[in-house]
Amino acid sequence: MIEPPSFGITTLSRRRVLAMGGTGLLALLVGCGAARPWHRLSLWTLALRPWFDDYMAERIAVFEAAYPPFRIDWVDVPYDAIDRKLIAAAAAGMAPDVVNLADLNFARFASLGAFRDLTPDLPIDADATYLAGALPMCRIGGRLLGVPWYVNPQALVVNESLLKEGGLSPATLPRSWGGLVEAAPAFRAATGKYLFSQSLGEESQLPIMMLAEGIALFMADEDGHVVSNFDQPAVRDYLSCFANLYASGNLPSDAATRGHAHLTDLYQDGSLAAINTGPNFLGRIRDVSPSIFASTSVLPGVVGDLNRIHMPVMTISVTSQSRHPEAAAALAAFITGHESQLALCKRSAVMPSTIRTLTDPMFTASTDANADADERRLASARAVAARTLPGAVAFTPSIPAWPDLRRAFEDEFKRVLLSGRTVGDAATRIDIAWDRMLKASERVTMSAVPAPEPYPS
Amino acid sequence: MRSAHHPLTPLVFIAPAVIVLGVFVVTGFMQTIGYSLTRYTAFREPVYIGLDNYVRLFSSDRFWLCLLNSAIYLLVTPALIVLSLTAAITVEANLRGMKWLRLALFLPVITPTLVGSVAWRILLKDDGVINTILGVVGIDAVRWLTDYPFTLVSAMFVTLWKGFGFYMMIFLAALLAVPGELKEAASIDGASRFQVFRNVTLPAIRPAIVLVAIVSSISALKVFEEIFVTVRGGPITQQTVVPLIYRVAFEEGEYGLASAIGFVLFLVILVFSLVNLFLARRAGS
Repeated sequence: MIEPPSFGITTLSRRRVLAMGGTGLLALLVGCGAARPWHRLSLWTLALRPWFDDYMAERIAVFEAAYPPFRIDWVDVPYDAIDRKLIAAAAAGMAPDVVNLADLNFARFASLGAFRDLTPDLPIDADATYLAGALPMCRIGGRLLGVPWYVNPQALVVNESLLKEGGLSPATLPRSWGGLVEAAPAFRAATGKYLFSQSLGEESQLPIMMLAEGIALFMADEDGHVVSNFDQPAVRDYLSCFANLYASGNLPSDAATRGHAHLTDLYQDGSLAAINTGPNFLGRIRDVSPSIFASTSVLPGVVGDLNRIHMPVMTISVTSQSRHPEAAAALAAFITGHESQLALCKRSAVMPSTIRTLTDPMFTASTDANADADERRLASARAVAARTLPGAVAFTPSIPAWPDLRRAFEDEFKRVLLSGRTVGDAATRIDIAWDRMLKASERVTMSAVPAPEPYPS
Repeated sequence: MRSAHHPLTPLVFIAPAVIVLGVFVVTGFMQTIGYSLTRYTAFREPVYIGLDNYVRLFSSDRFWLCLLNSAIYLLVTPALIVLSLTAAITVEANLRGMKWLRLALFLPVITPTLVGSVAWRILLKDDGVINTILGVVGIDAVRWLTDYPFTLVSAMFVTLWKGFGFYMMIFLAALLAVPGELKEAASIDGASRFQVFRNVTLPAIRPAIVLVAIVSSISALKVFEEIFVTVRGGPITQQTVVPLIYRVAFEEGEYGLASAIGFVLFLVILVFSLVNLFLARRAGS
């Protein structure tokens, strides 16, 4: 019988080699665990890459220096993937410690139990730190489930030359939706252009606009739960104004079929005199259409009867699966803190949610006379937006079903605009659909619906 | 007299099946019922909430719309029976090349549903072969993959294409088992070929028809892959119940609610199967 080659290792020595190898591997594994003096904290943000890579790297380095036991794993996720990725990660027990979400989906994830109450862990006084209009949407059922990050208060961006053609000026331009609706036909007749537009059928702003007018779209049932109050004369009148304006050709056709992008597109090609948008879009207008930008100025955003500007908010939360909730809360406070937000605002046209940051000369000082015209215009826009922030409110309700309610509204209102359905019919249908959706989702109380007092003029 | 077998012998034989079914089917089923009574999400451990998930479910428009779509999807069952029975009668004839035809008709069964669905997507796209053919005969192009209810019809095509070869084999086996002397006797008594089929063959293969009706309708109610691939990206209200379960569980993270939908679907299938069976038995008697 031929013995297999032993390559110089006897049976006994093979066992010894195996034992030594196993012991070595075990020691390596144990050693790795014991030797690692730090913990990992994962942070997910929304659509910051590649524009803010440097900013995030610098902020992370500062945090890690202040909290040596922690290393940050930063992951940037596209807008349209965040829901799916976060659910999948949570299902695997691997949700990030800290996550950035837009206000639209914040309440839905909160209803899934996605976030920890930050009240015990947050190393700052949230009420004293963040804007009064931005913080309430993060507080659901008395629990602070996130903190506001950067905000985009709406401002009225106007093309002064085009306004002049229509016999208007920044001083005479109405600042309410009702006023704009009234002025639009005469402007169209005089110039052949549109005075303003708004997303009505896609990414519709109308429900938020009605809340900003003080129209109560919701009410409480006998158990205190939110139910629909959509089918009411005030809603019908409000919607009729826009439906009639659209039907008479005084709003662009894109208002029914396209979302926010149509505003900047039409403004950039000189078809629109005024758009109500976040000042962060000014940079794009400057890059795409310098001639239009040259005659652009920024006014405080359009307000409703409450005299408060709507403020979309980005939030930062600590997830309920975080293994280091205290450090995660510190990271949330750090990212949304004064220094980080000031640095972010210097790199982009977003606005801060921290009260202290608004006192920085960047938002208060008059524009530098040595700066070029474009820079002065951007600085002026920033100052205008900053002035409106104390009264601005995040009107997005903290209702888990809010994205579905908005979609149901859009489906029906598009039929009004495009298929001849009456506003009355649509209001009744929306009311029924909203009631069903509210009952089919996690029930919430009226504290989820922003209902601020009117802001003094 | 001493028994030839130990009394526990049969139990030993069925034990593996009982254990596998117990662990993977019964336990899962009971767990699903349990979860349906809890608030259980991707982030939260189950907390008992009674029938709240069912209340939410029955208040939900999208659940009823998906259930309606599942009911519409059941139209594939009669179509499958007619198509596969016709195919079985055709290939039963002992003609030249029939073996190859059987093989060809059976090929979709062994093709993965995903592959079949992707192939159908290509055929059904706006500028695909189907619309080209429709254009030749003067019919406007149909948006099979985007416009409801054509989206549902597209998925039904895939189910039909994929399923009828399998059911054809069941019918073929049943047809071959019909005693030839019965048919001969009927022919001698002057029955036409249609009368022989109607009065002799059809009653003889009724159990196979009942089987196909039940199995194919259960498959239709549980359809997922065809819809997932063909109608992907469309609104959930234009899809059926199982894609809704997928959406609620894996995209919305609401496991408790998804379990409630699953249990309701189980009840629907159970009732449907019992009614099917009852009607078939009554027709048989």
